Amino acid sequence: MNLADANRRDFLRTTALSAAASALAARVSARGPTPPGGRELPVVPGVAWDKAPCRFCGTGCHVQVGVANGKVVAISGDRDAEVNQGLLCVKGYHVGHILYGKDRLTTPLLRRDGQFVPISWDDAIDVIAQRILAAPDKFAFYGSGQWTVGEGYAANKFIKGGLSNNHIDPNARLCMASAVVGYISTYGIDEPYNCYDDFDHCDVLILWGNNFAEMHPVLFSRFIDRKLRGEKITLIDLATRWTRSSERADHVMIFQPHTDLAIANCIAYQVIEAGAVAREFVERHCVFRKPWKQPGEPQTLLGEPCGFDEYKQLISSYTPEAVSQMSGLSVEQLRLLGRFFIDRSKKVCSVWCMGVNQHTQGTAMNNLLHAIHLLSGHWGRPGDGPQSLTGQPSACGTVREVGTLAHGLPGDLRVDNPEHAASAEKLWNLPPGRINRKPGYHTVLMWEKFCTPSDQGGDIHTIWVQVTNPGQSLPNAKKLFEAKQRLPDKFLIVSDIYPTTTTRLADLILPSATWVEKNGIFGNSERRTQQWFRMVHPPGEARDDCWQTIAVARRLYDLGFPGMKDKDGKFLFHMQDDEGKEVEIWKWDQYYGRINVDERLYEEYRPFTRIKHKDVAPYSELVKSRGMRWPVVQQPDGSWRETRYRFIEGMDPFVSSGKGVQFYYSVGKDDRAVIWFRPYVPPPEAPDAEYPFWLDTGRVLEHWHTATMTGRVAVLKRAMPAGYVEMNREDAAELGIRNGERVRLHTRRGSLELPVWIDGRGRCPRGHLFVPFFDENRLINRLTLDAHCPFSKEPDFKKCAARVEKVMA
Amino acid sequence: MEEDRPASGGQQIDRRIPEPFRRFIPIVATTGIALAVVGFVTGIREPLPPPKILGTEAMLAGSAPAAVDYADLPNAPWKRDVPRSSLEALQAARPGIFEVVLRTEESKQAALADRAKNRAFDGAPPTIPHRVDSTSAPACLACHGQGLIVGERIATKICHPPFSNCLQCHVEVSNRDAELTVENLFAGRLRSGPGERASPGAPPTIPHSVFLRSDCLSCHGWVARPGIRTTHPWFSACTQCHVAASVLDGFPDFSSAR
Repeated sequence: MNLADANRRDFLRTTALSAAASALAARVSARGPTPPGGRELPVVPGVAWDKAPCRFCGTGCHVQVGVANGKVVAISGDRDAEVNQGLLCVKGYHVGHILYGKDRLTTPLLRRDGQFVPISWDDAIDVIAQRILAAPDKFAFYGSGQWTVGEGYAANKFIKGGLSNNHIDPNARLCMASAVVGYISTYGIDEPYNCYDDFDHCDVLILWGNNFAEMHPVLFSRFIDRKLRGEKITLIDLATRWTRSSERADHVMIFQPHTDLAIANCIAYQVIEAGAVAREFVERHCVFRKPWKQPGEPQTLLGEPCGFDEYKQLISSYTPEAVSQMSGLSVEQLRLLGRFFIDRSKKVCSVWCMGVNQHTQGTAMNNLLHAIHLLSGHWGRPGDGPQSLTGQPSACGTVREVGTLAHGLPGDLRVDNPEHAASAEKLWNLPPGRINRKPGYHTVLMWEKFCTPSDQGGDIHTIWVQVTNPGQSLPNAKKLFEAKQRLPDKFLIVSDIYPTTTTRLADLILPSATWVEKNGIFGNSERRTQQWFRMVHPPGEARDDCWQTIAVARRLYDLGFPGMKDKDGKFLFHMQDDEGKEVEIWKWDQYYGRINVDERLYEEYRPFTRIKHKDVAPYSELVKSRGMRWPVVQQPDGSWRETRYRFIEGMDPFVSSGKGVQFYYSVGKDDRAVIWFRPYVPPPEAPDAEYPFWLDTGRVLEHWHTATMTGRVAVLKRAMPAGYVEMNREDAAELGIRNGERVRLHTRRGSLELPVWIDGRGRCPRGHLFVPFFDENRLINRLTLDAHCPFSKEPDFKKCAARVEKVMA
Repeated sequence: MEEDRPASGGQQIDRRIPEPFRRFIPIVATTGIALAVVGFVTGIREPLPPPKILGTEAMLAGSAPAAVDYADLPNAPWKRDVPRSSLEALQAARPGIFEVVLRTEESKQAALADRAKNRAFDGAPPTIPHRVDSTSAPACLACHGQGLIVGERIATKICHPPFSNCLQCHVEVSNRDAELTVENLFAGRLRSGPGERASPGAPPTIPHSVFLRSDCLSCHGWVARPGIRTTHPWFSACTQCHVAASVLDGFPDFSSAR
């Protein structure tokens, strides 16, 4: 840098004119040749820039991180990134701030007599190891879609390969589990076949209960800005309340909560009625299934095959007239929706996120969205198909691909599939049978067992939480989280960067490194694997979550726990340097140094992804790119090619030639996707005389999930300071409530005082309330329902019955 | 898009009533009382007064005057010296391109300090220092499309090609008094620093990224803070003389592992 500074004036003096020309050229071609001076061009003295995916949502924007004097000082959108093309949202522009909240956790803290006392890392690791040794089968890991790939992989290997225990589940269970099961039961394999390119190509975009403008703003802009370029595109907002997405929509259709099932079936009805079934495509590539043998029986995940005629018969009651009665949409609106699917000249993209997934019929609803696209032939062309979005930066990369779920193994394998478990044991060099063949507890069950006294069947006695805040994000939090307070024998370990609602009940708090304080890899919603390097040091004694896991594994190894050794007696996380010498990565001073542990773990994980043709790119390729969409396959010339669309010949390298379309992991092993019939099923709780309102919860643009990060950023906090309840104007008038006044919301599970916002950010129809869940001082999830989808086990945060009571000043 | 607070410290609302208007006090008062009576009667019939967005009061202290609801007109705290006229008139009243620009070190520092007020760091999207009633791009562009001067306030011209979802990046800081639960120690670079001059009098280089800041006239045009205005707005090809050479506009190359 000094040399560069000294040369700066000379350099500028002599090359001003040529620099002008080259700088202008630079903006035209994003990756041109390196100019004289290259990255050292010292126009911004002392600031070094490097790429990283944004820390927040599942979109996976890339940012340029500006670092000066060991601190992040600036953020810019990355123009080389295909996802965001240089643009960010307001959270992204301020992502650098999340490292610098004044109350960062910097030392391990142990609760002693109700007080947190600082302890050494060595002692903290020992406390965890002793808890596990006491009862390895009663230990659980609660992880996250914000885990990096390496962190999730290490945790999964530690618990499944080391402890022979499958009680590991992520917060993503609350987020996209329904989408996972929807993909698996439709295509036989998880994750979208398509990608964000759809937003550049579709003619019609249908938002299914998805406030796209606030939740995935960069992708929303990628679509809606096409209007500025004169393209004729149509946005349809199918929603239960008016949002910022509705403002841009060409058609806003406000329906009664939970009737989306009937609306989707009504579209299928109309496609059949109009004779618009894509006959050739359906005959060659699809089969039909119904969820039971006979109506009235319980639905099953894989159902029963049925013929087209029977399917037609089952769908016949979903006429626009009948569905109009149920859903509150007019017959004309339903007919309009139907016409988009009947007309195959227009490319129709359906996109969804929490509205469909957080649903007691979440799997069914996912099945139906795939079904209407397959049935009508709106499938496969860029811009023409169904696509689910995720809310966390690595819900796909870490949870779905690394399999940090109660039943999962890396590479989308399952513990209860003997072949899969054997492959994992082989790759991990474990003795046969090490992996427990019985799936562990899913999120809701795990926390229920943890919050149940040990003598009443509560057989989870220790939970280690990493990178998430269940105290605020679990539904029915009094039952599933706060009940822990009365159970002194239960032990909660929390690794985090800030004090949160969860750390309040923790017994041991571990300070973590985050984002560009560590090496990491995320995987976004469109199968894109993204890598970044550590750029700054974590504060105090904060350390990587992945190191924490490995250090505990090593302590167990040292204490003689047999599971921490592989077949040959080597440590589960044995790593050696180029000279073949073992690197003691469980010692923090060796974790970063001779080897890149993140790279080693990733390369160890990569062979798993080849088993089900989800080949992720080599680390060295990720370093060069702004992420690559798997399957990434090497070409004859040695280059690596990503895949934009799966199952389609010419795009997906695993489709046999001549097939056109091939679902090579199909449910019936017949290369065909499933068109599901799933009936409308009433919700478990609906408004009644006592609790007359629907209560919906969700997010806002400025805050990310529980706002432990965004709540510490002044710009975001001031833009959206506190939680509120959105209420319909006429409902408020009837109850004598004015804008800004306080009300108390009651549900069967709890109550909460909130200010009322009428006609504000969003607008509720009559009988509907909306509360964002970001405010740690107003925990709306103490009121929500823990009823969940029978297949995906994902709870419904969007619908429960509530009562409003005015609070007298 | 840009900040439109007064460049100098003239935020205080002048509450004294100018001499020529004093004789109107009885009329105003009578009207006020009459409206109050009407308002009272209306209030009895209609339980809900026009709604106020959360944080309105806190807002008024520190930013542009909010639009006033019809019923609140008699008591509205607006400034009497702000010309009340149509958008067309305001647009027509923009300073001319050949108007002489006087720049001093003080006005420059004031402009830079003012600019830094609603940005977390140089390059961050500025926050919106006024109420936003309509969130559509045309509503924003009505003032920010070409820039506008209203009294002492400047609505700067948009500095990048228009996107349609303005509030994706620019958020309304509707509650300036909202306390952070905890302090944040992020220290961003608030100024990009002066450009380099090859010799005295030579045109300075552009010291900041021009990505999403491609319209120089937004900050440096004739509808901009006086301290950082260009002295020669009639030359429209800025980059002919001023070199854009920031690292961000160059060729970042991350292909080398470390």
